[in-house]
Amino acid sequence: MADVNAAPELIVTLAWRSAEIAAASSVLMLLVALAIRQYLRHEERVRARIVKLWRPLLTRIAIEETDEPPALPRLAARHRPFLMDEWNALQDAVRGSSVERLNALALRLGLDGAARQLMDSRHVGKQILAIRALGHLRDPGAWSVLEARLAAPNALVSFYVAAALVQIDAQRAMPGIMSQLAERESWPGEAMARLIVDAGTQVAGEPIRVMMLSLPPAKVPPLLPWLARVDSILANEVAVELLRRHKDDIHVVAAALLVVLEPQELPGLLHFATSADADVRKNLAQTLGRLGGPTETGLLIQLMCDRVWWVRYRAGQSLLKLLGTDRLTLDTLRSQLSDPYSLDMFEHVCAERATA
Amino acid sequence: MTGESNAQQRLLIIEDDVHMAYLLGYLAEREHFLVETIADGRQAVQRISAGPVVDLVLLDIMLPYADGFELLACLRANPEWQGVPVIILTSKTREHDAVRALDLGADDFLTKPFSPSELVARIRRRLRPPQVAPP
Repeated sequence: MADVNAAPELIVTLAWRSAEIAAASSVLMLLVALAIRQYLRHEERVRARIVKLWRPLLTRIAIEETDEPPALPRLAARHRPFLMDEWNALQDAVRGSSVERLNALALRLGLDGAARQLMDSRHVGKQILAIRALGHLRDPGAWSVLEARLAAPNALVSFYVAAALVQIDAQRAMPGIMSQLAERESWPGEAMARLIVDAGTQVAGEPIRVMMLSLPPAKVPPLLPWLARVDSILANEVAVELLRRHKDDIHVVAAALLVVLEPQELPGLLHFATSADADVRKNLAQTLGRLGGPTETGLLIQLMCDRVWWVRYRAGQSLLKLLGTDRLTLDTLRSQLSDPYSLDMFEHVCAERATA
Repeated sequence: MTGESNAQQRLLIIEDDVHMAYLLGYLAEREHFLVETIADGRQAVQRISAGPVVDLVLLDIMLPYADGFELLACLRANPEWQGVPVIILTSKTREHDAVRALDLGADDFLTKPFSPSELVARIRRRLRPPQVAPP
């Protein structure tokens, strides 16, 4: 009987204790949130103060040639990351002698050492800050520290490392970057293109060509349009070679057709009109319009009868591109189209062009 | 270009990157221009349609709300702004943007990162009064 009476009391006590613990946890979490907020606000105030003080000074140093190094305000070691951020942003904006003056300033302020320390930070943002700074400083001594992180799991860290290595020694950086390029689908394409342009095609061209031609065919198609944005002539060379080596791989062929640039390659491509793959036929139709002349109209008329709408559509667009706007020419072509699907598509692309 | 000759010349900077805008403004003020900075395309459209005409525009392509191409079309469609020189700022990998901007009526372009002295030289070139042949 006594046990029965004790049980409700125990339950009430437990419930009470749980409520106390929950309330204490809530208060603790609130305090932590407030502390974090205060800390962040303090950090923002410090950053604002540093920006206000240093941005004009950094800009003046970047722009003005002076015989004597300017007097610098004091900078606490813990505030260096804020300055490094400003310094990086200015480095991104200028080139020429401004870069040298900014680098001299960084060495005076010990930003090189601070950057090396930040490389070990657990905070990814700070790591990237440091990587960018070491790249801008172009210090060969930082090579091994950076290279070790080229294969970092974080795509942004590895991308910024690649950019920094290019800044230090583009030629030396290329083999490592190429080995990563094919694996890193998450690297930002536009920024990567800029990196290659910065390195110079004379430095990056051959490594890219070798990498593209040695890749497994499945990895090639997404990289070809990117390469065409970086260097269309190099992309054409690579595409022609890929078409020769992988003429039976429909994905490689479809991607390469859109990148071919030289009209003299056309005769070797015409047989793809009979490919079993619609993407290949469609891209060939597009390429004929881009590179072809009046002699290609016959094949395009043939592709206008294709069973796939997109192939007929691209063939129709290419035909109009090659034939121009002469009414008589278009009427003559219309009279040659006996297939109802091709005639329908021809009217479609003509109407589309009229409203463009 | 002396400070005095620039005293009345106004330069409009349309750039959303605060660092770049500050740098451009600093450079222009150092050359004694009256500088006005706008950070997005929507404000820029309002400024072009309502505010006084300036002597030169530095225009970024990638802007929020309305990009540099739209603004360029807006500038060239406005009779008061039609003759204002426009220098386009674009990144190195987007030089095709510069070509398009030149087609749309921009007068010059500069790729980022740029050399400050080169930008100043280009501004000077665009604002140099036309040479009049002696009679």
